[in-house]
Amino acid sequence: MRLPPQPGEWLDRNAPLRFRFEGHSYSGFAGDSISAALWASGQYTLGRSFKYHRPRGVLTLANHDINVMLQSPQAMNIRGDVQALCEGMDLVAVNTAGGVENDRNRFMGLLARFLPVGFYYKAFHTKALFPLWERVIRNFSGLGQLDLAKPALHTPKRYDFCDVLVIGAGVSGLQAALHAARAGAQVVVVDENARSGGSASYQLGGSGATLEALRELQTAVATEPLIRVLADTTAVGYYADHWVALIDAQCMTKLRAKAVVVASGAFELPAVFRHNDIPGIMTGGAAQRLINRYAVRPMQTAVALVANSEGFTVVLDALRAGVKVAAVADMRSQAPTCAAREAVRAAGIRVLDGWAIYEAHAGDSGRRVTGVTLARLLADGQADTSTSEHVACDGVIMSVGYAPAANLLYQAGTSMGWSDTVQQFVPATLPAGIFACGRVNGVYESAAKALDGQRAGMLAAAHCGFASPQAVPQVPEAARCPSHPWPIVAHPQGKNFVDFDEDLQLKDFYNAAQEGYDNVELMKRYTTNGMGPSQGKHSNMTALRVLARILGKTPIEVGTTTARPFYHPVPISHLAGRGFTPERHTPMRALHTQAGAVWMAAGMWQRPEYYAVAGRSRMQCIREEAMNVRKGVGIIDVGTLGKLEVIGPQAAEFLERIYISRYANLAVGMTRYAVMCDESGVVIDDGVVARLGEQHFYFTTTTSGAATVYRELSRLNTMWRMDCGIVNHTGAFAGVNVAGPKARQLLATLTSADLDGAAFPYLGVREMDVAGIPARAMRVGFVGEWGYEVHVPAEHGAALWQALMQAGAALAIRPFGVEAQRLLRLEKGHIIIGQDTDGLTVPREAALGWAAKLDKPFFIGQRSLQAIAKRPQKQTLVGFTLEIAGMDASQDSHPDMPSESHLVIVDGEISGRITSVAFSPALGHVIGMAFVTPALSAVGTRLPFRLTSGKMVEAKVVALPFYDAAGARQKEASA
Amino acid sequence: MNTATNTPVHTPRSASPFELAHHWSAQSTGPAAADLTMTDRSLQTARWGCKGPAAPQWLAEHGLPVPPEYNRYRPLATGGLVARLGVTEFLIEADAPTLAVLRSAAMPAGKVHGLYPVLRQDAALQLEGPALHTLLRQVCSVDLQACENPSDAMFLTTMVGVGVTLLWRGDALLLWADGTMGSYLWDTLAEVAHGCGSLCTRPAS
Repeated sequence: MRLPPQPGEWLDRNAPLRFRFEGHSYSGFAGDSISAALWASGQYTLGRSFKYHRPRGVLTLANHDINVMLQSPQAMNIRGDVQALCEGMDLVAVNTAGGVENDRNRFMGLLARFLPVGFYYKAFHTKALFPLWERVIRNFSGLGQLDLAKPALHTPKRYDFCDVLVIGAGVSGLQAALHAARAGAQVVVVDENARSGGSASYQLGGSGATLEALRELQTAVATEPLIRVLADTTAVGYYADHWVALIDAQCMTKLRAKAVVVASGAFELPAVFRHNDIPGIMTGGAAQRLINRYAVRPMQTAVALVANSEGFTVVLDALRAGVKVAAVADMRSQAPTCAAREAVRAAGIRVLDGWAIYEAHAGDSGRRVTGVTLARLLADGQADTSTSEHVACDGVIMSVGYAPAANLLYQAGTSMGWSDTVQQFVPATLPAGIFACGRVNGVYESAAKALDGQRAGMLAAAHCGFASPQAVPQVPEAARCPSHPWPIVAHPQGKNFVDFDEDLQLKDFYNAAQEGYDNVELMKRYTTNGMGPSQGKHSNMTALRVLARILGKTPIEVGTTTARPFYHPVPISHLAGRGFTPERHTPMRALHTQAGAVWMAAGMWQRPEYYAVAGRSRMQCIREEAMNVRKGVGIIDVGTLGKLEVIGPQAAEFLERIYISRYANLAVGMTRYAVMCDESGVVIDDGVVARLGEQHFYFTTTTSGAATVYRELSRLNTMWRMDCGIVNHTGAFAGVNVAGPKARQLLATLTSADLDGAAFPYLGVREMDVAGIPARAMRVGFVGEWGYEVHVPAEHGAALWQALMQAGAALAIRPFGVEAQRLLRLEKGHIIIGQDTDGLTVPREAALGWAAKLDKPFFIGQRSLQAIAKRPQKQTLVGFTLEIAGMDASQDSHPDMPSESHLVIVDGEISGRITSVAFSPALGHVIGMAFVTPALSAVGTRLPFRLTSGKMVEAKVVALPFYDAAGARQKEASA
Repeated sequence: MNTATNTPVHTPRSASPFELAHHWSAQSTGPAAADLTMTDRSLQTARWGCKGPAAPQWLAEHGLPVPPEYNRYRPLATGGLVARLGVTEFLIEADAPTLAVLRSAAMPAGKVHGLYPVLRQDAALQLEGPALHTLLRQVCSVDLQACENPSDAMFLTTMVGVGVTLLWRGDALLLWADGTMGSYLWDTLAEVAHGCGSLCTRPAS
């Protein structure tokens, strides 16, 4: 029932909203939570429990009512207790079969005896039945329904910074923020609630004084320019160096602070008694939120179960809201006096000291509490049923204690101690830069909380270097205990729930301990306590008390479970955020696109795989590009190669150490193939070393290896302290390989340099102008034709490409992509590191033994290669050909065509694998390279390959290269 | 001839890492009304680099102000700057004649013992506008505005996954990155920027 306007209510009475729940229409106001609007409308069954499908209503209204999860067409697992109501919402409860009122799965309660604690560990002994049980359990236990057809949400990812982060905008948090800011610190305050104020905004005790003081504080905070307050924002995880993950409706923000004040308050705990989950039974905080935030009368007639002075403030608020309070059962036999308690007594309310609720009743419908049985508590906390008394009511208020919301403190590495005075864990040793105040610090009195906040704020500011003008206040010791040490009443028939997420009853914990799971971490996993969506916020402390009693230990001796981030569920879309996947492009990117490039990833680089031509298949394009190189001229963008320089008196010696070949004797103006090994002698990279001067070498690395090689060379040079320096020019130079029998003819039109074979021999390097651009040109032949690799400053890369294409038009030039290059180099028998080698390949296995100069004084991998040289070879790379009847260049593929990684099978054993294979249009048959055992490496040996289909095809080992074995096409006679 | 020394900075055939793949939304360089303005300054200023143990002293001998620490820069009286990227690594932006003198003195590579010339082909951007900080909060994990940052601070960090060098010039942020990352950087910043308000993209004059 909706109350008249309340002094601190969050409602906008001028903004009525209509919405639907379970097919029925309801109304509320802007500012309502969904649960509050439903409760105000007389809808008390808001959800069903996870396991037994018991009806559930408002329990905490504090973001822990995980049995009130709702689904809308737009979102799933909406928390009804805190989600703001919106116009037109169309909601249903999750985890029901047939609706929340008549859930067909409610029979699960009848099967409770067959679903004991540790059910999951006991029930599935036959693997064969696992698929069946998996389906059954998934069908029963799922929460929201994921709509895969819904468009993906793109959420941003944000960073934020401040001096002092205050987590929690209650009185202590706001005071901390205010005093940190007054000292000069930039402060951010976050609070999961829609408005600041914390418990001071609803725990009014029938008086307006608390609210008035809060408003003054809020005004002071709002007018402080150094404070930013982020409402509806939850701090869900603490990470090293004061990084805190903040979650709001839109995204995750990673905030870095110099100091963090945790003022996160405490979770109010439900009391444990039989049927403590019937709708209408709620925590005191829930009742006060209904009354003071949402102007909803929570019940008509209440019984209050209390164990602290806060409980009496709830009763006072309830009375002010027109609730008839039939009785107050105070679990303390000797409760200290306090103003609220005296006010309740003065109002004529019956207060029973040392009594508790033994059980609650729900009538035939089971959907709303109709009364409770009260009983006197014995010294051991058991109920004396001989004293029982039935009291009719339609609501129960529970105010028996709290657990500190200390998850972030734990994550920050806080050492927690136990306070008998306040019966909770409190920070004992805080890490540097972490401060705690308020209830999480064991401080409950309003004035003390304010002082504690001031203290924490000043200390946090001081930690950041901002001295406060005032002295840090002393906070008085706690004078009363807000939490009952044993808010639990046993019942032989059970259904006294400890964990509402998983329907865990008191007996489940005793049974788990009896079965040996009597360690706090083991018990958590065996019972699944705290593993539901509330993450144990309302149940962990109670479970810990149960275990402590079972073991005869104190809570501190039992310890707590590990608090890991995130301590509150975070939508996957928030976690994903906006993804950043960096890509590198050469300066010719736009020209490639214009030419029809089909892109492929090569590490971080995007490279043209081939250039699409209308009416041609991918394979046809690749083969035509390759044949154009063989017969005319083609150009390929090789700007992705690593391009490094080493400069200095010891540059040559440095390269001698890095590469397995010799470079000290490399003449200026010449290049040499270079293979790099790691310390174990494994081939890790290759390239070409060009000597530009006595002390100046320019060398390439593989496309994917550039960054790694540069980093490693820098590391080695730092270690060796040689008189030379390394410069990474990978991104600074564009590179184009001009290849084909007409390459020289083409280049001659763009340069005045002497391209005669004698003046610019094979493997030579020259610095010259090409198309007016200063260039480094190397006569290298990866694809097996006369060719030039021309490197120019990146800003001129596009101009060079355009000039070559323009000048080459008369020669039928066309660009070729990575796939054509792979084919061409295969015909030439050149390996690709990483494709024709693997993480164990040493040079001699890859036919690179000639390059390893083992007699050099030193190079990386030398000692390993010397040792390996004395051992028998395990595999060797060979070339093979395969004649497939009926296959020619007009066919893209053939069923008998093997693929890379197909195995050589001899006598049922794996004897090798294919590393590269392709149909060669130049040769008219299939060629490839394979690692085989040495016994299969002789030319002419038949290699049986097993295809994916299982069919065996037989290839023949041939000498490499397949094409132009004499290398004549790269020499003068062929030009 | 050596490429690193004799590269013409302004030639008709020079192309910024951005310009071939993108269309500018504006051509002028005056104040923009947009929430965020991205200006391509890759070709605006001549740029050169050097590194090596002799670099600090060599630069000082050539009359350039040398920042006393890495991650700092010094402005040049004629415009441009000397940025200290590492203990012995420098980026110089200056007028073409100044850089020509430096290159000539340093080259060919190996001519000056302990000095290694570096060809700089950076993608260079200027970011400014009222939405700049909203953008930065989404693309960079470093607090570029922390009050303790010195006024001559440079930041070598990552932005949208790309290694970048940053510094403030008034309310504008100058950015340098590897030119081959330029397209990705531009596209990604523009995509995020569109969510921050109106965007103006333009070349530097």
